[in-house]
Amino acid sequence: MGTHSPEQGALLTDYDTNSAYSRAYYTVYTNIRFDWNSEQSRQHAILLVAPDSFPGQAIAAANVAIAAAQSGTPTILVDADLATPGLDQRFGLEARAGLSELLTGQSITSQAVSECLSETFVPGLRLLGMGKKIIQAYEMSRLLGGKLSDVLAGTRQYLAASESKPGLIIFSSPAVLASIDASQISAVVDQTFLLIAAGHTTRTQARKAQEQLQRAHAQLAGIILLNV
Amino acid sequence: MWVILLVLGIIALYVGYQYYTLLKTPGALKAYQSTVTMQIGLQANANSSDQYYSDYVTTSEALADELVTGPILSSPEFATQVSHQIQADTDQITQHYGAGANLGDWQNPAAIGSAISATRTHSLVMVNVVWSTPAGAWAIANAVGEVSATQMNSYLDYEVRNGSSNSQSAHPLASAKVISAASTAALVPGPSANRPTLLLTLLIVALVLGIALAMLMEYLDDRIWSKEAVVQVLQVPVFGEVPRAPSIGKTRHIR
Repeated sequence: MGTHSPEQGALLTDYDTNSAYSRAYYTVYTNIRFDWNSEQSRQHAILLVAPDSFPGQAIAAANVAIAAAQSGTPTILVDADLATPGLDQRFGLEARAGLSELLTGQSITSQAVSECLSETFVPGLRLLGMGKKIIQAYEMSRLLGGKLSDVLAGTRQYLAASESKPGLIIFSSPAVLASIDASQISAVVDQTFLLIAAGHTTRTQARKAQEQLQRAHAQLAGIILLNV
Repeated sequence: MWVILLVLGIIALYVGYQYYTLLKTPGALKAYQSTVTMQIGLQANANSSDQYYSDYVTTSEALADELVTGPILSSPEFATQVSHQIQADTDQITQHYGAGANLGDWQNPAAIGSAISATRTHSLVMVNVVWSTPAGAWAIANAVGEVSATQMNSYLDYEVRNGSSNSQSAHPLASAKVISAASTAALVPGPSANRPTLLLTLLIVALVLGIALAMLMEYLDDRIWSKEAVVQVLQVPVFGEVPRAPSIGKTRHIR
């Protein structure tokens, strides 16, 4: 089903649920859940982003989404990484209309969002892929700045209409220091989490990423430390 | 970090090899010393009409000085004669150290030449022999005394005159007389006795430098390795620590 290279490309479902690796992701999701007031925000949107690009950052977001879905939370994973899209391939899905079509479309409704979502092999987890439409980097930034809030609103409406329980929307984006896209997404989601890869991410990169997110008025809620 | 460990490993191997070589080299770390004392002078000659005793004393000291500071004792000719003398002294050696005593490389003139050193007090010359075996040290010192006593005039081949060069009178020749026979060989530090200390110092210095270099690299390393470090930098809570993904072979199943 999912295509991947060993370790960095393997989804959480490839591992024993009792392994330290799996339990760590369930712990991450549980802590996110503790910090999420579902009374105020029934469709909670978060961004998982690394300061600088490293292999496995999209997989980390996908694994948190899998842990959330397997914990009973309806979850939508949004692939917003224009540079290295491919979460649909990771889940073994065919490429279809996705975020790029929504951003370039005339109207963004819950119906339009619904048509772009794919059911994954994980019950309760849907994927909004990058889409098939090719968008230049500068245009992507413009579209995110103008229409991402509409996409998020449509996604929330879809979740509210289709699920009785509070739902989670997880964005995976390019690294903060690699593109302005992450800052634009962080400005519209409820919370942002920095993915720090031990032995890879430097203090300088972490500080610069934090400063960049602060400029975008992002709510930097916490850190997820990877490869410990 | 691996480079530091590699360099330390190479240095440790080098030190180990050098120490092993020292242990296997006879006489390198410990040796045996025997001393023979001789008086250098001019042969008494009944026919000599020389009346100047002070000249004899001065000349003897000059000859002793040449023997000590000159290349005579370390010359291949002298060493070869010593080697031959050792062969002739078999009975004496057997008497002192028993039959089949280990004499070391006594047939090697170069080794004998490098084992001999000398000091002097006026006309008294003390010849020291440092050798890898006690029997060898004693045999060489004894042979040095014997060769010197019989052959010194051929090595210090001077013609001492106190008058006209045309004088036909006999003139005294240089000679050596053994005052104190070769001493029983005593254990002394070998020529490389300080090498183990130097090698140990090298190893410790390399280790200290390696640790210092590792600490410097750690200090200059800007990468985040721990939860504490990231919290200190960003002042933001950590929501989770995910270990490195296990190898695929350890997974339950692959989708």
